Amino acid sequence: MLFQQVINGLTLGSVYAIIALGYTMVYGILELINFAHGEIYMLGAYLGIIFLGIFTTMGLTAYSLPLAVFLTVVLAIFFCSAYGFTMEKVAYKPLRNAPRLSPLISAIGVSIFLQNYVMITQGATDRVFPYRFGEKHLHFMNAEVTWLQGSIIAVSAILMISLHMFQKTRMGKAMRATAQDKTMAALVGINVDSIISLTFVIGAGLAAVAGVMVASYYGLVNHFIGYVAGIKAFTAAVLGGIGSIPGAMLGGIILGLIESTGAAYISSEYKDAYAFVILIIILLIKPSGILGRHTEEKV
Amino acid sequence: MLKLSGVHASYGPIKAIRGIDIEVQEGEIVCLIGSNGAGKTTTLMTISGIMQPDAGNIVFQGREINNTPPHRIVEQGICQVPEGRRIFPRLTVMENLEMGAFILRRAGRGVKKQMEKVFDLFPVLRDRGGQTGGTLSGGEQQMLAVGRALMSNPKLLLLDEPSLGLAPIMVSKIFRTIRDINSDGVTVLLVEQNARAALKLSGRGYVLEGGIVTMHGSREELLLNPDVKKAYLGE
Repeated sequence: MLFQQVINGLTLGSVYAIIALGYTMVYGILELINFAHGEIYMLGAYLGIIFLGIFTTMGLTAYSLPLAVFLTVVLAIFFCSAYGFTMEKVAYKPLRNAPRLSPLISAIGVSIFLQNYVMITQGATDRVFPYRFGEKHLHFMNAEVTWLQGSIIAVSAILMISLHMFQKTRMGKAMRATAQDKTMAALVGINVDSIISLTFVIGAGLAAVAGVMVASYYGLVNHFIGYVAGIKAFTAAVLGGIGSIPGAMLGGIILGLIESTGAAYISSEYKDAYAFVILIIILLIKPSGILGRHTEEKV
Repeated sequence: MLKLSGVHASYGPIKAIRGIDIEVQEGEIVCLIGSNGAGKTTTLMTISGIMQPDAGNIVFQGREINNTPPHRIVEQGICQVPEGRRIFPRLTVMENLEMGAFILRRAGRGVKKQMEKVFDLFPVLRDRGGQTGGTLSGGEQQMLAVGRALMSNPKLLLLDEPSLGLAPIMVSKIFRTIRDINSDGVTVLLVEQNARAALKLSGRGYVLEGGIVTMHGSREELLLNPDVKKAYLGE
């Protein structure tokens, strides 16, 4: 029973972690909580439904399910990245030197806009994911792991490892340098604007994958899902230490585990409340989060 | 090589420099001296493109560079070591140096060669390669800051207060290194509060007061000028 909850928690937690990465990366560079990030995830879920629907009509899904799913994910990443890129250029870049509250308000504006945009274009009712993945599962230490759960955990792990590897590349180092000191990054010749765009594009791409995965997992999607998922991923990012990439991964997993064990052993009614309880506790006792760093620096 | 004509720049409503004319010839070491708030750092930040001039002209090697973004200015060969060193604290020494070579697009041989040159200049950086920048001592950070700037193989090096907060022995080491870098063919524009040391190193100097150039001349002229002696050399 416990192990079953661990598997469920890992599934949920790895999705939170993937979304939390987008929050933490943007915060690391701009010190901005991008409250519209959850909506990008929601867009990803809708794009997944739309494209897999198209491929099903075309007969591609029947021909090769993995190919159809792969193309769906790629297209969702592409469109969500474009949304992320545009969002930064339109709503945040003009406010780069404004007081910190202004981009935050702008973020909430983007969030409301995107929710309503999807409601108008896609309808206000729940949409159904066009394919039901079977209940086929593996037995693993007294627990049942469906193929879909296994895939979600595996895909998330691959994405996190890739992001970790990206951090070691020239552009990845430039991104870390920009997060540490934007002016100095510009003085060594880094184009800070394009690094910021790249951060939004990567974050949105990750959220797109999370969106498609959750849509396929729960089967139902509406234009509000970005809100709750966004708050939970934000909690995960704060839990791990906002601005820290390993922190977001860890925070996501821990939050997922707490939610699923809490739902099983305490009450599933309060499933969504656990995240907020955790958020309050962290902000009270360790606002810098588990892997958050102190802001002192040697001069 | 570099010519500022009538450059004005401001922080919001505060005018920091008000019509500055400075010229640097290829191969020179030129210093800017002046007290706190005279506009020295603003001048360098405006040359580097971090601040946009309100008026005036900055020409580097015959090309106007005002309103050029900072990364393009680095690409044209102007690199700055800013005040306070500004090492990337959570990147290692090696990574800091690699970032200095960011504009040399293709990593590999060019970067390696440049890094060897920096290590020859500052052998201690080689030993510290894997340490994060934030853990270095002040003197080591200053060496890393200069080394990082040299990674881009600049034609003109802007140095802002390189001696600030360093032990005297470290100050003379840094000044010796600046001379070495200059004899290697890099033109230097040096901003310093330590006026005597800066003038000794430089061929010419400018005195900044309240955002304007109040005096300029050769090393000898400035070292012997009674006003300079009184205000900046403590005589």
